[in-house]
Amino acid sequence: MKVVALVKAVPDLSESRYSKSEQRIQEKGPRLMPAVSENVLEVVRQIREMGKEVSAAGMLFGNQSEEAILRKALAFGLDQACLISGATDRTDPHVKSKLIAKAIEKLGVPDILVVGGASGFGGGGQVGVRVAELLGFEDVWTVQDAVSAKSKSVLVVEQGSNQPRIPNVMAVMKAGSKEMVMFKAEEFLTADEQKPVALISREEWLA
Amino acid sequence: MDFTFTPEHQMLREMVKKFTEKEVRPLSQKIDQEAKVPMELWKKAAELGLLGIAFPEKYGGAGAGEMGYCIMLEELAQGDASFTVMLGAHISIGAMSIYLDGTEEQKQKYLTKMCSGEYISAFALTEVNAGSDAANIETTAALKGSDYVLNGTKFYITNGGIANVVIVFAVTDKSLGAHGGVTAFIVESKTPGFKVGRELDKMGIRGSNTVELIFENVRVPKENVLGKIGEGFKTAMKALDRGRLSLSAGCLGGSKRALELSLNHAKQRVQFGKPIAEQQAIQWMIADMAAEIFAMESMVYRSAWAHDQGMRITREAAIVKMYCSEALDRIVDRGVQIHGGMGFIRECDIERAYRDARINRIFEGTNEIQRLVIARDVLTKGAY
Repeated sequence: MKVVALVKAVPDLSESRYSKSEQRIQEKGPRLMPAVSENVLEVVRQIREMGKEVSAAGMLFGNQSEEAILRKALAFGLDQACLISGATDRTDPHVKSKLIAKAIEKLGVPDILVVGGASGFGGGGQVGVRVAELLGFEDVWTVQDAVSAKSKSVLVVEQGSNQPRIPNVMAVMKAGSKEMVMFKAEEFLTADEQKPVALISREEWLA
Repeated sequence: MDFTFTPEHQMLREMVKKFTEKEVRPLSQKIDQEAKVPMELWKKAAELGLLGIAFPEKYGGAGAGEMGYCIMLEELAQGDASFTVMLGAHISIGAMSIYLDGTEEQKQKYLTKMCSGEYISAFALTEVNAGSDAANIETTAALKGSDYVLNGTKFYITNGGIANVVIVFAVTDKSLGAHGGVTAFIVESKTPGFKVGRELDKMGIRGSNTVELIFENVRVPKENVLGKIGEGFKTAMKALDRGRLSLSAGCLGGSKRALELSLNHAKQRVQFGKPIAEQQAIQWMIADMAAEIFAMESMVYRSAWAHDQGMRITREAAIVKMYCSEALDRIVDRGVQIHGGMGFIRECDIERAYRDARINRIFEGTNEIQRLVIARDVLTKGAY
């Protein structure tokens, strides 16, 4: 069985500041893996413990500088990691989902996709279901711990839903030498296709 | 020069920090009060692979090198000094003696179980009349048939009462003195004649098990001679070189925790209408603490790096041990001063840190011995 886990990279909110004039967070310092991704990786670990032949990969949509986050994910016992970088915009869930779905197709569609719910940064929590839609997965489950699924499923794990175990030191030391697949966003979508979907107001929507 | 830690070492630090905060620190007061480290904590450390951190994968270790080992002890020491000493004695001098001078068979038989945590190890060199003067060892080992028969008493043995395997240093030829007359043996604690004497009631690191060990006609098979006959003193010195460096990493961790506790207190304690952290007298103490921690951190990791590059670090290990143990003492002393009356009360963490710190200037070779080692090395080889 093949499992893919989506791992997030969020700004370090203890370092970053909110700019009132720009109405956005001015990021400072490297991005970090949020707690919800550790909850995701705990579910993957449990799936591995349930079955004998499970291969698990972690995927991150971000910048090349965030490879360290994927290395950390590998320390939780994944076999392989995949980084999608170079997107012209990293905030739009629609574009993000399309790129992730394409990368997953290239990597090999898994039996189970494990994703985190809202991270507490963007807070959208949309990517999991959007990717499920794009890949044609029929079942989306919100879970706390591992469950056995018969058909191809997306498991959505919310922050704090389980107690992530601390990785073993052997896994930590091996994380650096595990396979890291690098994808560029332009391999999948042109710059035009990566343009964020314009947000419209409620009034515009109703009209 | 590149002073950054590798991504693996950074992850390792993060992982041990999490373990320390979640599992170790909450037990620290209990460990001190009950003078015992719960075996459950040992098992949890074993499950995470911490006990084999310094050894190669082929023996069940993690291959994190001296650098990784020092990172681990620095972080653990921010949780509990007794537990750090328990692990330090097991890894740095107990298991390390077998790793450094054991045969492949001995490593497979003992080191693998020490890495997995199945065996706890201890290192028995010191005696009542042979501490710094290791040449004065009175425990004897006489060859009788295919066994060596050990007789004598060891003192101040960390983990001695809970160890499955003890590295024992005994005189095999009195006429040759320390260099040539002392041999190291791997002794299983289940061997008839192996007795645990009294447990010592200590000022600090109270949870660490420190006992007297008595050997009454303990028969040790020849294949359990560690290293060569008569070269036990070399084995001891090599292991102690490693132990001194990792002990210093523990001092570094203890110092960081003492500074953290002091900062928290100084920011909260209001006197004369403002937090005492705003008083110059307190700021000077904080500055001195931070400066010494910077020096400790620099020397610990420079030496660990040098070791991992294959360099011999006898002089460096002695310097680092001497400096870090004394700096820790100064830092916890300032910490108690910053805490004021509260720092003298048992329920306050800095009070325990003050008591736990003191032993570092004594064990693993007193600081007076470290100064001898440093001075002799400088006098014979030149300053730098």
